[in-house]
Amino acid sequence: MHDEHELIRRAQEYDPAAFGEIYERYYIGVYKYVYYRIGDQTAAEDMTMEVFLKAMEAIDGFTFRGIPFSAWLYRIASNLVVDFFRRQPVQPSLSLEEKLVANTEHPLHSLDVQFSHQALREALADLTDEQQQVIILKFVDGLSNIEVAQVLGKTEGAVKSLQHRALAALGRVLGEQGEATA
Amino acid sequence: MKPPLEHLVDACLAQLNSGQDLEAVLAMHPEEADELRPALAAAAWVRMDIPGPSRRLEGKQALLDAVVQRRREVEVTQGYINELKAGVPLASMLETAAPAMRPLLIAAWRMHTTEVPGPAPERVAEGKQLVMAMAARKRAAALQSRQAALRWPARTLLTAVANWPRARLARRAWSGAFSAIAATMVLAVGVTRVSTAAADSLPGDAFYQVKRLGESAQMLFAFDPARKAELEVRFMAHRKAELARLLEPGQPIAESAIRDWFAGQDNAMIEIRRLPRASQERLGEGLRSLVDRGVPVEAWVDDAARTALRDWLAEVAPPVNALAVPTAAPAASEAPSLSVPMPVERPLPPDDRARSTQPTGVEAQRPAVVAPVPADPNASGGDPASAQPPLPVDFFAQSGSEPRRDDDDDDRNADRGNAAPGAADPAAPATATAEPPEIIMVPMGPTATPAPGGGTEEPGGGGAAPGASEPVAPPSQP
Repeated sequence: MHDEHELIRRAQEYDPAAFGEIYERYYIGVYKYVYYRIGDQTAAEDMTMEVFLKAMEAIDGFTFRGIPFSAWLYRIASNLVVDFFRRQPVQPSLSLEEKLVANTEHPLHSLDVQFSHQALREALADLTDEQQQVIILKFVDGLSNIEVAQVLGKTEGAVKSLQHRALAALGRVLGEQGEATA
Repeated sequence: MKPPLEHLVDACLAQLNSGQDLEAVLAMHPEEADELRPALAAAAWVRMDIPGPSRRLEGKQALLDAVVQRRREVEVTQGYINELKAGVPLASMLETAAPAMRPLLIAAWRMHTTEVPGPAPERVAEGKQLVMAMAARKRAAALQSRQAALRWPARTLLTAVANWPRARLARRAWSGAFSAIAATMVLAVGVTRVSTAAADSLPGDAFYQVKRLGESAQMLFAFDPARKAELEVRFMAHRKAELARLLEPGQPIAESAIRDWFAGQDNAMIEIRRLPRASQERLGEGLRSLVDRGVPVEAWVDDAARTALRDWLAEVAPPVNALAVPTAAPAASEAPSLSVPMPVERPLPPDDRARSTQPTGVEAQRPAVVAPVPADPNASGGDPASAQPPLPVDFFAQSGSEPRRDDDDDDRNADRGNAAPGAADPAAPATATAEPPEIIMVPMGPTATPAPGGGTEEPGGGGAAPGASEPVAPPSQP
């Protein structure tokens, strides 16, 4: 923890090496979060970079008040995701099969992986914003309940309850998907 | 004699209140049943809506039971998640799980095991370099600001002392100035309206020069070096936001906008690398077509950025046919022509073709624009880009040897070290040449993702950013 405090103190003096370290330490977590929220690799890469640039611009105002730095980064990412969807033109939704055909982004991935991933993305989209966040932070980024609570500004108990409802909803949607494709 | 209907209703209500069923009560009065039914049904409904104490207690208990049940389920879910993360196989958990929990458990397992496509390593490395470069830049700006803050208190004090004898004179002048203030306010309202219209303008719009004039005026009256640096950063963000909007699909790109933007950047490549990939590719296509036309793109950046620009351009817009082997070696007499690239004719849309060949007086002064067209991978034969001769590898060196088409570029770049970004001469001609406007077809990428956060530099607003032009800021801390 003291290590992180020292790192942020150096970053607040705009030490390039400190920012390099912050970037390496948190990049993958932020990227995964953004990727699952928007579902596009290139856009996720761009947005992840933007998260760190925004963090740098606002790091002067950051102080430790019981919230880890990573939670702050996730909140920046969450705001950027919200803004991203606001700016997206309304597009006709594609069916899962159409998306699989249209998505040539990861040609090295097997169809199984692609299908599994796309199906999950599709199912997640049916959840509420908070439910999506809790699922991604818990399972994709591997955060603890306390850390998720810090990101979302909720109590640990509320996160547990939200997690239960989110998984129940996800299970229901995935079950419907399975029935539809069967 | 039958009792009046009101009395009958009272009697029936008493029977209902004693707990009798509605249909049983109505059966006692078959002749009046049709008349009584609506009133008694309403009464029965109201009675059901307000349950008695015993039913309220039952409801409360049911609610408490549901809460306890939910809490138990939440804890069970958490237990399964802990097991899942500890590596317990799904099959063994499904064996012990209640049927209702199984879909939930499978959903958790799928989330836990599904692979996320990782980022491209070169993009990760590139981002790290960018973040570190931006930090170094901010550090230098912060240092400059601190030094200025140390200098200014002494200067302010000296100015106040020097002006002290004139203070009385200033008070007399104040009364005369009061009437002028009123007139100025009226004028200010008009200026504000124009400024508002100019704020969102883009290069080529009617109010764009007003916007640039406003920026120049701000720079002119910014005496504090820290304030000047702040304005430089802000105007740089304006140019970037304009460019991002110009790079949106379907939007023509004004050559002058790209040129101004480059001229205003200390290190344009850093800002370019911040653009979304799709926008970078569109910008690369536009720049390459300008290079083809002999526009001195290399003169827009300094020596340090030139190499970076060349590398970047090779990455996002590699030379068409670069890998193709020429069918015949160029004759010796043709060699000089390679060192002075000539403007290349491009096919124009039918409606623009006539306009381009017969420019009017107004059009002749308009900036050249690069108009996007949808890429057509099947039309390689008719693709204008594929009809180009292969570019030499070091095309910057090549195009740099040609005579300049716009002498202003030399002056602008020579002075750029002191010139404020975005404060380039607003009266400068929008094009590098006096040619009639030309539309260059730029293939659009498959996707064009808008810059997140509105492409602006300034934080503020958080997730409540209302529109595309609004910045998204880090959230305030709780």
